[in-house]
Amino acid sequence: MLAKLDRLILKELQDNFPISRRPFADSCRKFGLSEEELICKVRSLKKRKLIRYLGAIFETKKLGIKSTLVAMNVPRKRLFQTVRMINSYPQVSHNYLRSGKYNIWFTLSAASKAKLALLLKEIKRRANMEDVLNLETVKVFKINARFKLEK
Amino acid sequence: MKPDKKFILALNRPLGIIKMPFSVPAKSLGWDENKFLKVIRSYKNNGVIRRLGLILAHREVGLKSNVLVAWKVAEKSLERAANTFQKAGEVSHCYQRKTHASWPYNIYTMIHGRSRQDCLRIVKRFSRMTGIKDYQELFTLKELKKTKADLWMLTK
Repeated sequence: MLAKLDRLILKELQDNFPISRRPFADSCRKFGLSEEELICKVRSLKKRKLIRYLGAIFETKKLGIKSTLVAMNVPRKRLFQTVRMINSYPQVSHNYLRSGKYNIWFTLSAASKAKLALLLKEIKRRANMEDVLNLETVKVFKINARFKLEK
Repeated sequence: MKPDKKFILALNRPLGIIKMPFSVPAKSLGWDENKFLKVIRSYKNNGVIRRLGLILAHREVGLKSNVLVAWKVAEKSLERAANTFQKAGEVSHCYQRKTHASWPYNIYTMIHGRSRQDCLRIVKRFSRMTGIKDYQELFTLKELKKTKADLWMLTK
């Protein structure tokens, strides 16, 4: 269970992490902790796997990076080797086994649309798959990977 | 402002949970830390940095189940559906994507709930609210890869 203080720390430091030389010193008073105590708390929340990491998420679109979602239905017999092949690409950041008509769903990114197309062609060939959905983004209505913690 | 590739690669690595977390990437660039912080602030203001801070693991904060739902939404109903999903706290992502002959679904939502049953209830409610009858629930059976996007490709 999450203690009230843990919840407060997670919420505050996911939304308002200070961009300063000593961010923990600048925010620790809100929690009634010292800088050292807050760092200790955050480390323990990370250890408990509530925190994935401390860092930045870039708007890849604004960096000129092109991304797409790809789906294919890989036969069970070839699943393991195909997943290993797909995951070996650093341009694949997420890959999920899902229920439904297509079982493998992964995101693919590259520096340009042409490079993205080439990459997908190569993966299709190596996976020996014909029926591959290239689900290019038409419009982003919402991205909000923040999690509501108030309860 | 043109994104500085070296800066982006330096800040794309996770920061240490230490007293001066920004000092490490600043040093790796050979930059003064105050300059580094100034650039971070400006990229945050213009949206190049979408978020900065603790990135949480949602499974562990009580939302144990999620489902990707692909909806078939008629062009004229798009705005209304998108509006519903934008407002809903259970939806973290909502995208419109290209369709294929074998796959006519154009709207994708990532829906989070406490359990699989909870997710199914939420999906039903959205279906009622939006009037969308044709949809596919794509439950995660296994997370095969989940990494912080590697931005090395910027340098190519």
